[in-house]
Amino acid sequence: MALLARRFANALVIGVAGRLDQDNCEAFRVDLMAHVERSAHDGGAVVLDLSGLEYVSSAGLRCFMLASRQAKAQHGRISVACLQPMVAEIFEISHFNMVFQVFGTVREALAAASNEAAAAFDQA
Amino acid sequence: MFPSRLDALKAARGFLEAFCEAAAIERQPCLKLNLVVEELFLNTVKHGHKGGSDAPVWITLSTEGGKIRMTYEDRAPPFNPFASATREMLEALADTRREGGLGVLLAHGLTTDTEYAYLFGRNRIRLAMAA
Repeated sequence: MALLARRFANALVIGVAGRLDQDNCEAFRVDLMAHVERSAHDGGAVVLDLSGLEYVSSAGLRCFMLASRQAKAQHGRISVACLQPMVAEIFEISHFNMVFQVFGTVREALAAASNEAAAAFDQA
Repeated sequence: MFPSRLDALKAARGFLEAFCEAAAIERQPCLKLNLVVEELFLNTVKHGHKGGSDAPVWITLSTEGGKIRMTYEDRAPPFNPFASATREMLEALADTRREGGLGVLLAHGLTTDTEYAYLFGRNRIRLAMAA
């Protein structure tokens, strides 16, 4: 699973697409952690754009949880945006919608991160 | 029938996809069926057989009245993942953001009409999902 990262001012938007399951969660975790560490080092927020993610199992949720813990340990933060219906249902069942801030759009998530990030998104 | 090994999960997925196609199950319910089987199967392999075994897993599927019905059987030691006490424990785990039990919590949340029995050396789970 290739992660597409886009920077908007001090925020990083990471697109997650396809399936996130037992088979690819470890590679995903390594890639995501690298982005989270770099973003936390820069003092910015991370927004996971899940509009292309159609399937996430408990293995994938664990990766999200580990990334969230790492971000918090480094005084960073992660939010999620654009959840497809099944992924939204999985987040509700697992109570992950209380672990992460959930936004309907990437724009809303960036606006919650900083005015600069939202402005950069509008200009892109 | 699939061996209780991680590398058998791919074959199990293929079986589910073929069932969904033959029964004209739409994408979303088919993905949910995949998820429930992935979680139950990983539970069997990782916890029931401590990492893997050649012991079989049987998956039987049908559709009836707008529902997918599944019977899932394995030969791991007796364990009911859907027991009410387990359910309460898992919700507590979720609330404290711990990692354990997430898979069973997801499987339980996506299914209805769950029944468990331990018969003739097999865990037998029967459940239904919206088709």
